[in-house]
Amino acid sequence: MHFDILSSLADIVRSSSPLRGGEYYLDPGSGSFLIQLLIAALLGGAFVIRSYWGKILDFFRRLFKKETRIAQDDE
Amino acid sequence: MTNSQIQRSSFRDPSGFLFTRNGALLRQVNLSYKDDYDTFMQSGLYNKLLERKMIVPHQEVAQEPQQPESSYKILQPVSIEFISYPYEWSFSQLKDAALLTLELQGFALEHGMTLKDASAYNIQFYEGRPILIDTLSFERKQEGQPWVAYRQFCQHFFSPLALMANVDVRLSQLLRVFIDGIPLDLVSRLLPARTWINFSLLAHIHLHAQSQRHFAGRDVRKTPSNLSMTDTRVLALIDGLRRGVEKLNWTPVGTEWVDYYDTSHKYLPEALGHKAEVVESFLERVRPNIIWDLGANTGFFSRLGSRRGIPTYAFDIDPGAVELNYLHTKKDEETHLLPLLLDLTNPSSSMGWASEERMSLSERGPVDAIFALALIHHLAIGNNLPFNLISKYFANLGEWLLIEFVPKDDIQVQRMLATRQDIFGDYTQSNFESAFSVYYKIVNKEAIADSDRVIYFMKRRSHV
Repeated sequence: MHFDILSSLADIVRSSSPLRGGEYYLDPGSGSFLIQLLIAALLGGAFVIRSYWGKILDFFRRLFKKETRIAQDDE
Repeated sequence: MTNSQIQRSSFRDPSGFLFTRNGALLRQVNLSYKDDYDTFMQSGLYNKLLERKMIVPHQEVAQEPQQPESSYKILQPVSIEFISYPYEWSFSQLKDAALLTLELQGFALEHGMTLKDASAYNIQFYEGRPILIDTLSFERKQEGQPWVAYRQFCQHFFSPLALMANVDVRLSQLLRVFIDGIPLDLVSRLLPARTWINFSLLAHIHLHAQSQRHFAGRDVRKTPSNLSMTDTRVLALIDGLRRGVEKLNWTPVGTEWVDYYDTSHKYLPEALGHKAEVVESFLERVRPNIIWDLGANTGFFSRLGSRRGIPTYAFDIDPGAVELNYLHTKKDEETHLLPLLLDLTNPSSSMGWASEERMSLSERGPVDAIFALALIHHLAIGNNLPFNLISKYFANLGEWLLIEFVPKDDIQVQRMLATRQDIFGDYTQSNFESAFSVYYKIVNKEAIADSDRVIYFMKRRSHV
């Protein structure tokens, strides 16, 4: 099965900067290297949000509490 | 005179190798790995993994190197008593080994290092839990580099687990054919269509396989800067793999196996109790250092040995029995029992390069004591094996034998014969005794109460 995402990836690859050369005793595999970059880029955003999710929730909780307090003070 | 030999499985990684000298297992660290080894030891990573019992402990020793021109240091790791292989593990054993590998990579990244390989053969079970045995698996991380062992992780761990969870648990046996893990294009073809809508399986198996095919043989050492591997992305990849592995599940509960595993239902309580007493008296008499329980089921009798502190290996042909046994060892934090998957009619053979990389079952023996309880009819009638061949093979595996004879009129044997012609005229107790007497001396025999079965203590003859 052929899909376009890989062709586009290949196009980007052709006009890009080199990776720092590593000396690997394992063959990481060309396709494995590239799909890994793509998956990691996709997962990266979600990972950051998840890592900060607690902090984001805390922020809104604090904000909500502050607003409630202000509202109570107004009363 | 020293007797020194490089381990036959230790040739892939140029960082060093394992060798044995006068019975001691040693590891040479090569000069080429010096900086990585020093970082590993000095960054705190080794101590952290040691504290968490995630890596095999080692000591630096003042031994002569095996290859002095390339040697930096010689290490003496704690010796693992029994080397097992991923095709001998149950689903949860392989899953725990996979999760350990990802956790190791997580700790490595925290210390500025990375796992340079993710081979399932680098993991062993030690005191009941998986542990990394390859001290040279870590290297200093280079900024922006993808995880070099990603492909290997997918082939060695993610693929077999995905197949076992989504197709059939017996597909773990593909690891016996493909020594470097199951090829992803094959896994992608074997997985059902519904796995294309599961993100982990889509990404790490299906798209990964497509990408391998698309880029095969192309030089991709250039990559777009917006796709470079930041630290966050590496962590996200490892976290994604961990989530993917954790979601893969297989359980024998709810299948036909459930009742079957209840050992007690095959015996009347008196018979079971008496059988346990006979096993205990065998252990009192022989006091073995190691036990191999062949046909162990879920380990009821194996535990009589392991609870005395004897390292006991509980082999069974049934992936469900091995799985339940392993889950039991985990729940009770048992440290002396290792359940393993084994088809005794086709035991693990030596394989890999020159058929020497992975050891056969008999190469990992012989041991002090073998249990063969409620097993003989499965071999002799289920697999048409003559008594003398069974006796000869057992004599090759262990010195003492605790074996149960199950007569033909036993309900289990009758069940086996119900659907086939009885061609087993030689299957008698006296023929059993004469065939086993060629290789063994019968030391004792005891009829099991409330049953027609007999248990024998046998000791291998010295000429064998």
